[in-house]
Amino acid sequence: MSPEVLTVAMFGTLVVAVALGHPLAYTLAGVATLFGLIDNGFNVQMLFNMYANQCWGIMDNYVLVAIPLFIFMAQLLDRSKVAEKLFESLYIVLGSVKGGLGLAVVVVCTVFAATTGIIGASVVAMGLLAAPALVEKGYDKAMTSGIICAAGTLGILIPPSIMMVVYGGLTGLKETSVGNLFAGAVIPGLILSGLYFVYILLRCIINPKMGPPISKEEAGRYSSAQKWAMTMKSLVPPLALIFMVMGTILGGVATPTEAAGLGALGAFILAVANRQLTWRVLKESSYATLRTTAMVMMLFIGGKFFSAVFLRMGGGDVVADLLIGSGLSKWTIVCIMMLIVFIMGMFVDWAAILLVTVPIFMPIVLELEIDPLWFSMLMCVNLQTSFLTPPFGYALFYFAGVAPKGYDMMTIYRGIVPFVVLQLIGLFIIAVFPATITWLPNLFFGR
Amino acid sequence: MANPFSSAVDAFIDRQGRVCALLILPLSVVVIYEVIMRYVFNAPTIWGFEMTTFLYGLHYMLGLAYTELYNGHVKVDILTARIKKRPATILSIITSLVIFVPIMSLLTFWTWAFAIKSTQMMEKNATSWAPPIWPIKLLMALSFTFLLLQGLSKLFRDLESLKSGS
Repeated sequence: MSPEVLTVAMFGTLVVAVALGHPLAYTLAGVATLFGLIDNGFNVQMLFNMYANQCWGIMDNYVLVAIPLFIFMAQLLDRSKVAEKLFESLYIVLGSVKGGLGLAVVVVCTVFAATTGIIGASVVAMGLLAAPALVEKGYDKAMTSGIICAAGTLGILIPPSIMMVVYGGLTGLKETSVGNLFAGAVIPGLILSGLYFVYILLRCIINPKMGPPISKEEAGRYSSAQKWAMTMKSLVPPLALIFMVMGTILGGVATPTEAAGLGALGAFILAVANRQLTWRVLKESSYATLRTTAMVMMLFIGGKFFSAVFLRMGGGDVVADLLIGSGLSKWTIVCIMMLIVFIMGMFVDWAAILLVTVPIFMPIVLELEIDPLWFSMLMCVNLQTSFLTPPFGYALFYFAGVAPKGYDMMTIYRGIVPFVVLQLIGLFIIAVFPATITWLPNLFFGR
Repeated sequence: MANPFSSAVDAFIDRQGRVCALLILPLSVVVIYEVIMRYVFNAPTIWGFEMTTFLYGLHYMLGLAYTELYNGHVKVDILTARIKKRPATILSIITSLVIFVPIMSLLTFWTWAFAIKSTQMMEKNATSWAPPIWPIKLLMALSFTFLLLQGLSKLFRDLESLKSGS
């Protein structure tokens, strides 16, 4: 069979097989095996020897060590109640502004996005803590779920981020090293957070029914000096943690893996300081860490099998010839790739998309002489939407799992739409102004 | 209710996973120790780097089966969420037989072959510390064996519920 036929057949099979509901990682490995055997004349030994070597290569990859450490850090932090304290003080400080509680959620999520590398934790924490408070104060229900899902997923984008660790570990390029990706994602992450902030503020000023301020008595219980003291006290621990992790990476003192270790230590100290740490909490954090880590790594294994077979049978060249040979402009090609990722994001989560698309897209990007860091950041911002786009946005499901009574899936779907639009606006901004991405990495690492 | 094979495997994997989950603690300690030795005392260890990757590798590999036990491996349930329980179980049995069982059996077999080859050579890393890596490769093969067993346990449970739930 020609590579063209095999390429189309391999992707077609993958789409059908994924829909059957079998775990994605096994499905990727299964489709890879089927086509790997067709391609190499049913040489089982050769194919599985390659698999064994791939598995060993992943186990031997120092960059990826940051994944379990960042997840462990997030698990400890989640149980240290630091986010809850920050939300409680911002509730008082921002509550009297129209839409202020929504803004408080955005601020808390942004701060915690800069300390953790995963989502799930913050969507769940905010869904449990903030959603009942907002709904009780009469905030629009759809908007409330939208705020929490969108702001909660900033964790995957604002560094540290395990998405970028996976990305860096996958490409192995100097330009898209984990350090460069982290530095590059700071401003795009803040742009998104800013867009959410402004959107909520404007919407609630135009229509105060969407997000009424809290009552005067509730806001007036504390003097402004007390408010400041509360905020500072709850802001210092996460800021110290951010400095410990991002500061050491950007300062060139520690590798992302080492910084992740320091972050885990910092989260451990915070949990002890807040008297939340018991042997039981530590064990439960470890169990949860293992389940998330093994899930990501199994996808890494399956995805690696898939891309190795795909590239070996010439599928990468087929896609490259199709896109580059089409005579389309660079911009059109980038748009097509982004559209593919966006559509995949409606059904599949970020890790599977990254593992399947990046090995195919990166050679094309390099051949077209597009800045790989710029492109990678577009991918990452785009992939954040994979958590948010119906029907399969994981953040929406996490939220639905902890939402207060009276939430149905349709309300949550409706609420997320404006934020997906904001996300696309953010993507457009960083695409048109590449300096938003490249400025910080140039500054710190002199790329 | 449950068949003895599934009960035994589930109980074993649960215990094995909980123990191996604690590997995150020495992993964190080694990474932090190495950072402190290097940047504070300017005395990097020769073993820190490799020890880190060994612990990281064993941590997630030995957690694959445990994660499967808790249904932690992501799937796209666009179809299965919409159909009744019985057809969903049948579909799960079919995908398991067509995808999981053959792939994991072959992977288990060939990773054992890979590990045994390494063991026969008493393979070491070509570094100044030169740690033996064959035990890690054996544990890699063992991890896939655990995952295979856990998948079979789920398959048997599905078959059983199909029989009893008719």
